[in-house]
Amino acid sequence: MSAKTNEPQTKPLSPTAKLWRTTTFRLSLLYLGVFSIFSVALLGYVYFQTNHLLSRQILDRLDTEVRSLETVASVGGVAALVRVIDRRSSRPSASVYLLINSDGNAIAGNISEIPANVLNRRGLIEFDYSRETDLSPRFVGRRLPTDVEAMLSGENRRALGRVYTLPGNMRLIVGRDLGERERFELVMFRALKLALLLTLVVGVAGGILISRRVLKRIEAIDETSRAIMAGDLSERVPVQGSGDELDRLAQSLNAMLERIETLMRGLKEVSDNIAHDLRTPLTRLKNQAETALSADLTLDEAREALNRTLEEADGLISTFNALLLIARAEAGGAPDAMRPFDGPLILSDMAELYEPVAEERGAVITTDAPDDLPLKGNRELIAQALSNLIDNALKYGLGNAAPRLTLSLKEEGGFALFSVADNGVGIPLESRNKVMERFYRLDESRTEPGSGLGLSLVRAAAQFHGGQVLLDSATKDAENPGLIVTLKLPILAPRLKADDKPQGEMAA
Amino acid sequence: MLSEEKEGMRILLVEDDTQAAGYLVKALLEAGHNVVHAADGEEGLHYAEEGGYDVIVMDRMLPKRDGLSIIQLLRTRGDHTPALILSALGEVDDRVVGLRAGGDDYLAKPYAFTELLARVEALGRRKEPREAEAEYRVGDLLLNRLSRTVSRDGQEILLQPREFRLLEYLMKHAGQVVTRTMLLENVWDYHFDPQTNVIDVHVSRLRAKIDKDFNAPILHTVRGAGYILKAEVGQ
Repeated sequence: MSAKTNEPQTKPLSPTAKLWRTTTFRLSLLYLGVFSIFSVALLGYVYFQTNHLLSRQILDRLDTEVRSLETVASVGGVAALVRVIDRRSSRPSASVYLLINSDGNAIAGNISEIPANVLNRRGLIEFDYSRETDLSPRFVGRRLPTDVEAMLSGENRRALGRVYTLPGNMRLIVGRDLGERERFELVMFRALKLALLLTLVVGVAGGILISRRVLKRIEAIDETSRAIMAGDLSERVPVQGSGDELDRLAQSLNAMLERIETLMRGLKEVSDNIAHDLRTPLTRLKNQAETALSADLTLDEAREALNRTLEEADGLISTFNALLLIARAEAGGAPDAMRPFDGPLILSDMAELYEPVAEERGAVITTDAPDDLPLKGNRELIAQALSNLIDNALKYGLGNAAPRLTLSLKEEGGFALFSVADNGVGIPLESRNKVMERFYRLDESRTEPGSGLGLSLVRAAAQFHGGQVLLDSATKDAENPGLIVTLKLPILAPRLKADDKPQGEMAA
Repeated sequence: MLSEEKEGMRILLVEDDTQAAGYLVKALLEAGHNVVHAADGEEGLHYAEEGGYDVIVMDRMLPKRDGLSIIQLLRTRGDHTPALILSALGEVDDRVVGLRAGGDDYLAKPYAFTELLARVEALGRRKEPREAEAEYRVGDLLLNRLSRTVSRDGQEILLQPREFRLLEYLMKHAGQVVTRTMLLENVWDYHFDPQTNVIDVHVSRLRAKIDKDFNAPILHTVRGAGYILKAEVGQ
């Protein structure tokens, strides 16, 4: 498996490009955008509301001013009006006045300059003006705020006011300086600019920082993956220990890698075994054929030789099939490969199947199972496993004077335990692990026929169901402790699908 | 052929491996059957649609169209020609999948040719209405399926339930070779490879009951293949 040829060809990215492309950075920019919009909206709202309020206040003052002037004019006539205007003009207030006679000359007020067309306008108007105030004695010498100073003698100021026509073709302009409102607007804009700038800076900086951290961790995972693809299956993804989603991902990946490594090891074992242990029978096969060819045989002898060769070949096929089955079973079974079957029925079927053989060898088979135990799994695999165990027991477990085989099925703590027990010589503790390896034969049994795959298939069957195989002495007897092999399988929740038919249903 | 039939069967073999196909065709012809060979799925479907075959031997992994889909298609069209599926897949679950797709029998590669031949002949003979018969007779051996009794030469023979089923199967396929795995499948309903000769011992027991005390043996062993139940000429 050449991983290198399958690697996608990507151009190496510069660090900035990598950063720019991270999800976190883009997310930060998105948040930045959203936050900015909302900030602007908020500030905009505040601005408009305050602006409106200020404008309202100005208008109210203006109206008050106008009304009082009206009263003065209606009571005292123009002369009184002029007097009042003069008086008010000498005060440091935001009010501005201009009284123009029919000739167009200013006769009262504190507006020094005004655009000519203003006089022709009507209603509420905003206009530019310049102002000149001679403060009355009471105010001279007083310290006034800078903005008021600027207002009192300023040029190019702006005011909100009304133009009135008086009898005698006189014109009166009454207004309020808009300096305050303009100051407020300035403040608002400054605040907005500052806010946006800060948001931008903090947002981008934050985005970069966070993205870099995340990017580093993901790159660590990426590097490990490449190392693994290059062939080193023992590598694992670094886990930080913070328990966040990246850590969980790393842990899942590691678990997956563990499994892959196990499967690869299993595969390697299989090919090792095939190479090593099928070679002998294959050589035997070849030798037989060659011998038969080289000798001068009669037709019958030749036939005989060919028959023997065929038998040898059949034996090889059987071994090969068993090896394949073991390899597949060890890989574990998918949940949908598990079908319902009757536990106790398999046991009684096996007992009944092997009874004649047992009798031939002088052994007795007994069973011990509950009346009912529906299970889910692969019936054929379990039958094969039990068959192998019974087979082994009949071959090696008959040392006793009264050989007895016990097949039992028990339910214990969420597990189904299938056991085959004999009362023979048992297996010494030291050998128990090794006997389950493929092709392992205890020295005493090396000459017996059989491939030595029996127990390893039993273990594979257990693995297929997510269970295990346990070996133990059947009794406490020192001489003939006997062997009990248990296939411990987890009982899967019985969820019968619509098309699930229990295995083992025969046509009548 | 293995069985004692008068004429060969028409067999459709759909197998893409040239060497395996060559061997199979030759061996089946020598066994007395007629064989038509298709080397890919489309060709196989074409021949199968023409019909007229006693048995179809279908490899699962085929170019152009996979074997199981062909069988499924035939079944939906009402074609129930017996089909034996060959497969090199080796999955634990394979057999069930193959039979559910509409196959009648399933053999995993590598297989012994005698196994294939025995199963093909057993499938091909299904056309005879043996299912409907209440009584099987081979020579002077009589088996009554309704009363569950067996007798030979007029003498009643007492059999255990399993022995009865074993004999019933053998008699249903009288004159055909029956392999050990076929027996395990059809009499015990298990499909695995028993290490010891468990089946042989069961057959020996049966033989002791139905053959030993009688003048002519009916139950024979076919070396390298299995067993065959047949009356000698003149019985």
